[in-house]
Amino acid sequence: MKSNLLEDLYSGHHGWLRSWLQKRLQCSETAADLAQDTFVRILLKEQPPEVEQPRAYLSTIARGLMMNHWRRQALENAYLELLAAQPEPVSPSAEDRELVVETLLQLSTVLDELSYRDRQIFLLARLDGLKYREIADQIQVSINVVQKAMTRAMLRCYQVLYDRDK
Amino acid sequence: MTEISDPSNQQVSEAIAWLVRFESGELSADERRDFERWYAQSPQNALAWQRLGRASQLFQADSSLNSKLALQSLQVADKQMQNRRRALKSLMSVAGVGAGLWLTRDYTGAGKAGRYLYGEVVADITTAIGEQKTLQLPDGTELLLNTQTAVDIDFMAKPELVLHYGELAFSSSSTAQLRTGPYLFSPQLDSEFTLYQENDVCRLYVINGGVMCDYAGRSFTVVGGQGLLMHKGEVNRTTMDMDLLSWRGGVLTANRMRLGNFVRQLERYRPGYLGCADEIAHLTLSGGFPITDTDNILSDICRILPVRQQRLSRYWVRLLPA
Repeated sequence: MKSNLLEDLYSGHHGWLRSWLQKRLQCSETAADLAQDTFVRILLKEQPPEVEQPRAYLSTIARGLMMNHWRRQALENAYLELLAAQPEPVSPSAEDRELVVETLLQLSTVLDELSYRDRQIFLLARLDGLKYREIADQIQVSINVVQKAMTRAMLRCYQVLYDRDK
Repeated sequence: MTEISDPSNQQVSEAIAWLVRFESGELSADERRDFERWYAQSPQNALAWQRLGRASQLFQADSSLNSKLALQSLQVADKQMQNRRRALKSLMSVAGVGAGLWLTRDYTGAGKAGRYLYGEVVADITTAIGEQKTLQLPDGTELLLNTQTAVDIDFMAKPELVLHYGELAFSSSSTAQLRTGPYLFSPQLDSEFTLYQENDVCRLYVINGGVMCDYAGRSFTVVGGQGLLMHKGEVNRTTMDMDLLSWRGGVLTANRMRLGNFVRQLERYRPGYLGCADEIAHLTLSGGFPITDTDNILSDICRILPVRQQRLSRYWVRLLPA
């Protein structure tokens, strides 16, 4: 059942999806990748989708992937630019870069809905390994503020990682 | 093995409260027992706790990424994504069906976060960590920007200068006004002063002349040799700490300064994490250190004081007792 449905979707709309993506991405290679990813996404779904408007359905998924692609690119560019602007510029290996961008991507999902202050506190605690007291001193807030920010950030972490429906 | 059902929201909240208490480092023996009781109470409690542990490990200290770099990268990328979204939104009105669902989910969240950041990434002139910049403005004002500073300059506007964050030294033959946060500064002719602004703290040191500070309907006049400290809406007069002015000469000076305070100053000029163990924070040092080479300063400190560097990378250095 599931594979038939997917086959129909694929044979009927793969070409269309690819050119739909290419129009927006201006890059045929990425368009081909994301078109492929779109079908992989559907394949991985537990429930086969009930699709009345296959192209609307496909483009919704593809659009999400496109945004992810852009976000990843934006993060990588920002990171490399900032790195180059450091007083002692460094160029990490491609592998390290990949890992950092992956971390940044996850962070951007987790921190998405948090305020600037909460983001800052969470990053000081996790990336820099500072203690709550040290964070409070450094950014001149009470320890209570740090605790509340960490509570919000950890809740967000939990939701992103484990509450898949939220 | 039976599968444990997902923890309830209540149980997740409790787990987070425990984690935060643990990380605050304020747990008594009684509380520890309470925690153990809570943990053993239900398999969902234990599961929520384990998941939090895993979530915490995900973002643990990584030498190529520190909080500053991550925060800035996210800000810059957010800004770029906002533009993307705007472009995509206009495409979407044509694309029609199916777009709505995704739009509500992704657009609102990131858009909100983006607003907090506006202004922080679009300043006219910024300096990177460790960088200093001198600017000669058309009206004869000389502006020196210290490390990690963002300033807007617009002589068509009033005030003409806005300090978003960081530190600057201002010497002027004009009377250009300057704003930072809710505070407005109006210098007299031929005044010289420095202004520092970070989070809730704002500090004005007047070296020559006089500066008027307006805040919430009140005015404070500060003359040469005096300072003004503003913190969360409270304004207090202070004396000047000369060690906090030496950066204008590219030097960090310390006059019997506590190591903990010195490290906090030095940290501003250095990318990555720089910390100092509590046991040695009270040690004092004196001297002048050129801020262009912070590695050198750290080696100097280790020569003068009984301390050593714990170095995980160039971006993670902690001073420990020798």
